[in-house]
This record gives sequence, structure tokens and C-alpha cells, in this order.
Amino acid sequence: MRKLFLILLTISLSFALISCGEEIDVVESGTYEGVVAKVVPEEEEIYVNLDNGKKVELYFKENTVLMRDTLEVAFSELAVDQRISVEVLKVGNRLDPIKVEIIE
Amino acid sequence: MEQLPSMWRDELLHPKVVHFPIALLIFGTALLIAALIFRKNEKLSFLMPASRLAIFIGAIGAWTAVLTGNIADSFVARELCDPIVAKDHERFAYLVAYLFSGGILIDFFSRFFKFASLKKFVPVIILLLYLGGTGVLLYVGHLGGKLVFQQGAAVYQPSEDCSEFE
Repeated sequence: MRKLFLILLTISLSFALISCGEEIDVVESGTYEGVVAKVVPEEEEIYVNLDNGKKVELYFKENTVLMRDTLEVAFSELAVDQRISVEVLKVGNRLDPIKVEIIE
Repeated sequence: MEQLPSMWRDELLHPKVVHFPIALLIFGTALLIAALIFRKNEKLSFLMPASRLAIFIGAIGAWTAVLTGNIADSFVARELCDPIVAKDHERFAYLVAYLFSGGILIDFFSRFFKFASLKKFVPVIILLLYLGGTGVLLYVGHLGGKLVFQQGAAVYQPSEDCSEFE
């Protein structure tokens, strides 16, 4: 019983520590390469692990261009683990994607 | 003429819900402290069950606030000038919900299973979880305030001539 109690305590504390959602970073305006970590289709939102070790959250805007092999493609073409290049504009601490290119 | 937006739009469910867990969880923690201080006073024996009830309803409210917060986030996050504040608000809100839920589970199971050697420590562990949860809760509230009062999250900006109010 004591073990069960300690397990329960450990589980609840572990949940508390690991449940903290996703941390995101802010980068300066520019073009970066990285890998898609998460795609949220209903919000046209992606998380990208950049090669510089930072993780950014990008909400597609009306004027965001998504390219693949020089052709403009729909948001649904994006998938986790794809390698992409993103051109972002830093607005406050928000990153607006201007151009996203699927590399592979 | 511009029309006033509804006060029942989805992103406004969160501010309607969120104040209940804030009040109940803080009050429940205060009641627990009082219950532990006055544990030998039989006249005040209602403090512990009152604390449990407040914390239980408050924890349900906390999870509801997380849920409605996620709904609100889907409407406002893309327009925020500093979305990191919203992320921190969300992360620490989950932490609050888990800390209080963990305390409730430990409290619940400790009543069913008697741990003679741990008996003294259970209230202390629960109190520490609730005190930690209350501290984080205050910070979450502060971040929520920053989202609204600094970034205008889900806040309608009236037109210059206020014609929509006529």
C-alpha cells in the first residue's frame, strides 16, 4: 500500500512537471531552415524545430506563401518531420510566416 | 454601422469560467491551513470537509478553465503581439490543474488505504501541493491579466464615435 501511495504521488508530480505544454522561442526576422514538429490543420498552425536549436510557432496568414518544388501548394501538404525553409517577420514577439518552402 | 459583438462568443467562455477556480482553490487552500491549525477543535471540524469540497469543485473549474482557455487560444493566439505570454499562461494553468488534482487523488486514496507510517506526512504533502498550486495559480492569473490588459486578447475595440452603442 505504501508503494502504491508513493507511486501515485510520483505519478501526480510527474504529470505536473511534464504537462506544461510546449515552449516556444522567438527569433529575429529572416529565413531559417528546420523540421516540422507539429501541424495543426484547423488553425493553419505549425511548430518548427529550427536548425539553430530554437522552436517556433507559426500561424499562417492570408498572405503566407507555401511552396514545394517552385509550385504554390495547400497547407494540407505540410506534415510532421518534413524539412522546410521559413521566411519570418518578427512583429512584436510574434512570428508571421511570409514564405514557407517544403524542402523534402 | 458596426455592430457590437456578442458577449457569448466562444472566446469569452474562458473569462466567465476562470474566476470560479481562482476563488475556490485559494479559499480551499486557506480552509485547509485553518483546518490543520485547528484540528483539535471539534467545533471547527467542518473546516476540513469544507476545504475538500472547495478544492474539488475548484479543480473541476480549473480543468474547465483549461478547456475554455484552449478554445479562446484558437481565436486570439494568432493576433497576439507576444504569444509567449499565452503559452506560459497555458502551461502554468495545466500545472495548477495537475497539482490540485494530484492533491485530491492523494487525499482520496489516503482515506481508503491506511498508511500508518505515512499518516503524518499525507496532510503536509497535500498542503505543499495546494500551496504550490496556489502560488502558480496567482502567476497564471497575472499572465491572464497581461494577455487582456496589455495585448487586448479577445477585447473588442469600440469605434471612434461609439456609434455601435447607440
